[in-house]
Amino acid sequence: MSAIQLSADDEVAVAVAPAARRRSARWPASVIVALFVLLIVVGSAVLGATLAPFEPGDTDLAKSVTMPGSENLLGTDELGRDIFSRLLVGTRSAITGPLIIAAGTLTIATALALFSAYRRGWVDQLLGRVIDTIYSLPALLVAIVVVGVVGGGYGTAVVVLTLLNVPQNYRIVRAAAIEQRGMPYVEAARSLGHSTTRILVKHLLPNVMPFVVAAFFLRFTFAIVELSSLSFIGLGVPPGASDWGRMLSENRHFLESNPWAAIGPGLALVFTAASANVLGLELYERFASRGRAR
Amino acid sequence: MTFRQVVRFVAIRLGVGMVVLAIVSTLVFLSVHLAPGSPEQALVEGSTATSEVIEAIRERYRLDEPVVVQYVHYLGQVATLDFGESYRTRETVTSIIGARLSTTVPLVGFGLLVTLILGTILGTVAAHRQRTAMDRTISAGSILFASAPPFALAIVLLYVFAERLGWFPVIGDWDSPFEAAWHLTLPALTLGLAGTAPMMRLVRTSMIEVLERDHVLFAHARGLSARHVLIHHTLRNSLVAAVTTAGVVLIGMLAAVAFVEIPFNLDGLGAYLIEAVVAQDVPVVQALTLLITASVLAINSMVDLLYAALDPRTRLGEGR
Repeated sequence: MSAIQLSADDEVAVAVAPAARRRSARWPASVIVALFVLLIVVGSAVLGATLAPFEPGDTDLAKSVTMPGSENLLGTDELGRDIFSRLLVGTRSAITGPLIIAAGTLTIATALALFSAYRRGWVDQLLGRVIDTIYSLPALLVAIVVVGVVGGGYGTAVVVLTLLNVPQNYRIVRAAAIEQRGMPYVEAARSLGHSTTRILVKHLLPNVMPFVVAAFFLRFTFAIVELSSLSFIGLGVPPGASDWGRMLSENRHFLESNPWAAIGPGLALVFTAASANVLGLELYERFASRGRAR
Repeated sequence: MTFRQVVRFVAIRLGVGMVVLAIVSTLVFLSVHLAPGSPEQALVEGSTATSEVIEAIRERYRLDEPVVVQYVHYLGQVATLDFGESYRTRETVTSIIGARLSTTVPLVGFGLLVTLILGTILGTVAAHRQRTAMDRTISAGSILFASAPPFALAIVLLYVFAERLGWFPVIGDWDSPFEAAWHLTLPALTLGLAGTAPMMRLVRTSMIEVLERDHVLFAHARGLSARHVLIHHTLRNSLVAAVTTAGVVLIGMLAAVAFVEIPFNLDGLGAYLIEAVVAQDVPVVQALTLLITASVLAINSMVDLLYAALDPRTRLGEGR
């Protein structure tokens, strides 16, 4: 009597409704803002050194810790260096490392994932196990211990973070690849006698690419957070370099005198990371639903 | 899920855990001894040391013995939870960790509470106001807080709410739990806001599902009992996802806690780890690394256990 049985109409109604709503191609306002922010960030990374009013390393102890004024848009720090200029120039180190990390991780993860998703068998199992063990450990903590103990700099940090972030991306790409693997075109290519490499590169890869791109942006976001966290605690960039994380660590001690010295790079980090995140999530949702609405 | 199954599960997890901990401690040991610079240097750092002093140090810390002997001795110490003394302060590592636990554990607990409460409230609101400006704002806002580097968020919050508005203290100690809560509010908020995004998203999705089914059922006017059972069923599923999410969020907090403790000048375990790494204080780093690994293993095991309890279809074995 109280059996729950949705009739055929109900099931259709519930299934179709979300898909139909998703069909809108309008980009949300948050994505537009995110793109705008990222454009500014990339712009200042490229043009930062030329546009900066002061030399980022120029000290002027007479102007130590001054509030924003007509000369220094965001004031100065303890050594009298112009915050705004340092912010602009620091964009480069803020995003170059993360870009390399994101590109590197995804390349490795995609190569591994495509191979093991297609091949299955013991390679997949073994890789899966290894990945699972590394997966749960927080990458940042491991990076801190390794970089701290080994005593490396920016380069070491980038390499370590690249490797540590592979597991998470491996899983995402592998899931997408497995979904593709069952498709008829894969079967067709195989029956035509194509080699594994050819199938992987010419067929699977292009269809998995949307996920890879979305994952790239998400990875970029986390890389920004991880790398800036490392420079915040002094591992990574050398002292004196105009790096956002470093600036936060150095300038947070005089928040009462010139908050902008810390708030400036702080907000820069927050908005850059958030914008990449928004973009990545939006892309991911679009690609995921596109696959299903077929 | 029988008692026997649970015992078996716990036993397997403990066994695997021991193996992982052994591997991790070995890796830490190796990296310390293979890294450039030697432990003796870290110890005498700063002060001038004659060769006799260095010799004495080497003897004291057994640094003159072959690596293998050191390793065995090290394993023995780890097994008895004797992590030696800090290179810097000569206090036993165990005692310092014990003291600092009383800062970090409440902080993380408080942070988790913030995540759960905020996530649930915001998720519910967003679900009821689906696709409105409020929904989109909540989504965008939670992404903003989730992707911000913890230390950056901490400093911004510190400046706005402690420096400027004076609602919370900037620095200091506390005696009563009430004071503790007050001191820990901003840090807990910083930690908790980051995890709010996935939690909010989850609550929103589950609630939307319930609401949609609700709608369909009302259209058929099936009566209260059917709806009740359906909600129950949906709730069970979302509880599973909620537990998994909570686990992920908690592990993320372990990583982020150090970056919240430092800006807020809290002497917790996270800040301690950073200090130790930067100062190359080897025993401390070793001890904390093991602690972190053990915590991650414990959290994962608990999540799996709860998962199995909620979803009777899941076997409590190692099969996937």
